[in-house]
Amino acid sequence: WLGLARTRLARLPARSLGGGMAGAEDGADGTAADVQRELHVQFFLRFLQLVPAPYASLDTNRLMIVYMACSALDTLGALDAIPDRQEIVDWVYNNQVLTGPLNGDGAGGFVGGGFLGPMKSAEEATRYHCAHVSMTYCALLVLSILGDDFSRVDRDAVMRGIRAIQQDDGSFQAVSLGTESDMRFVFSAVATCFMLQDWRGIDVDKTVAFILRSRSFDGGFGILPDQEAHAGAIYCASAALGMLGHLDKVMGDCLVDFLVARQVGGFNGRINKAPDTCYTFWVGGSMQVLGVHDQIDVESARNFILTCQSAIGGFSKVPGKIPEVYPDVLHAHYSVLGLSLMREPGFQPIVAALGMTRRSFLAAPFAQQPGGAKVSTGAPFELPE
Amino acid sequence: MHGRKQKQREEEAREPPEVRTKRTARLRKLRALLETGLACRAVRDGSDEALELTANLLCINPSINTLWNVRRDALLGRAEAPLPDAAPSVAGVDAAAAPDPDAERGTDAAVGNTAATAPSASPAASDALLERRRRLVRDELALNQQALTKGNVKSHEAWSHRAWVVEVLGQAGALVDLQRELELCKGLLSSDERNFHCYQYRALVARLAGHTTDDDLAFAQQLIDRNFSNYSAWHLKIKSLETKERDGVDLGCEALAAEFEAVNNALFTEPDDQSGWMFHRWLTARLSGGRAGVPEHDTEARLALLREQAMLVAELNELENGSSKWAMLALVRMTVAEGRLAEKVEGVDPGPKLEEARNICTRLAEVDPSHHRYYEHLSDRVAFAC
Repeated sequence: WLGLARTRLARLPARSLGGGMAGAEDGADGTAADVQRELHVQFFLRFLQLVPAPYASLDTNRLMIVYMACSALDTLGALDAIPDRQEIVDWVYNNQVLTGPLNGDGAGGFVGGGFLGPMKSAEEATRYHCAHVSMTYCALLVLSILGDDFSRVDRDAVMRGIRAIQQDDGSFQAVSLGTESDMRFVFSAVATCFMLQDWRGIDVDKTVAFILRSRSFDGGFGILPDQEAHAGAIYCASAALGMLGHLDKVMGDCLVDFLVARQVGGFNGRINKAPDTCYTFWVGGSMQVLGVHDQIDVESARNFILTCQSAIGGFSKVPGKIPEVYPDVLHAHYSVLGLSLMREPGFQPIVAALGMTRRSFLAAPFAQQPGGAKVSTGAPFELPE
Repeated sequence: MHGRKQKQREEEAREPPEVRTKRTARLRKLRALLETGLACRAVRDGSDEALELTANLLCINPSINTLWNVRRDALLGRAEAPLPDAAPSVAGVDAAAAPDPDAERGTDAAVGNTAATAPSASPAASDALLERRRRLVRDELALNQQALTKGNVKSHEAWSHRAWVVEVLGQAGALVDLQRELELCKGLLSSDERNFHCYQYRALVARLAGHTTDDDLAFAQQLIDRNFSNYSAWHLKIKSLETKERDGVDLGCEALAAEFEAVNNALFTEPDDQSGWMFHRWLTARLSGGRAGVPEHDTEARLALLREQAMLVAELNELENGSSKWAMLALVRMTVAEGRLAEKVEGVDPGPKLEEARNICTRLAEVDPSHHRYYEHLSDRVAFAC
């Protein structure tokens, strides 16, 4: 059912967007005063049905799109709008890779979607696929958000998969067959272990060492050692260290300075780059992980996000209107989570380290134990304020 | 994902229908190949078909890592396959099996060539092997460049493949035209001077070409001189200076003074540019010892230079009507640094300097009220002499 449309997303005529359009009309400066919650709910629900042609390059990352839609709906307090949660849960499990002679022992986890076409069963996923760690992460998130108990997750296979992708230098590649390795996959691997509350698959010391080697002089983290500080890498590094229980090792003050300086109205991801809505989450979320998100200038950030709010729902990366600029599911999702970080009324609070609501976190399988979810050292994971 | 959908949409709109049909047909062909299970064998044989299909697809979407993996398997297979026996004096050699110097990818030696020989110890044979491998490298780099420039110049997968070609296929750069790669990086950086994939790849190539840290510094300086706002270049400069420190070459007082002068020229022209202030902060830390602790030598000269630089920053702030937040942030740090250094050199109590720094934080909260909580926290940090 989650097929690929070969036609463009049609420009919806104004009347089909239903009532309440008045608030979505552009103000004199093109900025709507309010967050159009209902429009966004419809926007994300559409992505659970149909993915427009321009998303063809994300064919193998469809689980990520499903995560973003579910996570945004959860944050908007609209999970009940999803017509059939079980259908999605079953679809996710169809993307679980069973290991065998053709793909090898390290192939366990989830794929994002087969580029060979829709997979009708887990057996089909087995034959040639190897799991992608970021898709495993997205799968576990979706299952948590939709209230699944992980009973069909092959934990041993996932752990073998995680072990197969860790490199000698402590970093992780994405797929056992071979990909580049960097901080993005470190985060996905650590988050996977955290959600399964199982650290067998990773060498924690090596992982921490790699993360710390990727610190740069300006307090930030690059995606690799010697790389320029980048808010995406900072988020991955801080959240990972938080889940590993080694957050004390960041250069706290310097890093906070760097993160605060990312706010130029909206947030950018690197020094002297233009602001982009998704950095509201990468920067703001990092600040929540560090416990300093009260230092965000909420008004400017919110105003910037609103200039990126689209008349068809969703948010774009930069300010502008259709057809110059379109909203996309990734920037829309991180704008919604960013607004939640800034305590937008009516939005569910989130746990930025994982990218899910507090409600879903507390109801998830990994929190159902005395003392709640634990970090790799065995200490309890501290939820943000 | 950033910015790609709009471009792709425009390109698809311009694409004539027959091109789209052809592409769909190729994808179906590749899918059929992979699904029939012959794919694995076909891939390791390095079939022309698999290579042609993947090449075309990767120029459209360079981020399908599976396809780069198919090519890596195929290329290694071709590089390590036995040479066909091409000596003209050997009777019965099938001329078609001889390596064709004009062929894009060389022949598939595994298929039906009874005259094939294992790589022998003869110099001619190893030369031929190297030459074949060199050709594979050159052609693959060309294909990868197309995928980058036509498809997505920020594709992690494409850049990582390029690094693989240089390191693995190209035998740690030995079979690669490294100067050409450096020129390519120069060109790509002139279109986008913040492409971090390019900087990372260039660092690999530079290392293989035997560049020193001083070469890196010179390159960084070129980029900074072209555009002072290019923080990626500043990152490279600072990182290189830190490498030199680890090798035991510290920036002494004189060198620090020269660097201050250079960066001040730019900061006075463009006081809002964060790149320059980041370097200024690094210089201040070096001057006063920063995280490494208060320095042991030149301490009087350093204190004098620090005071002189603090006055210059205060002057800059005045020119901006006392409202340059970056200048004021720099002053907070310099004031604290001066307090600590003066304590060491002159035995003076740092208390008043810390108080002064906290006052600047208060003024910052007035100048930039939307960040007042940050300045309050900053003031607290000063109290602990950050």
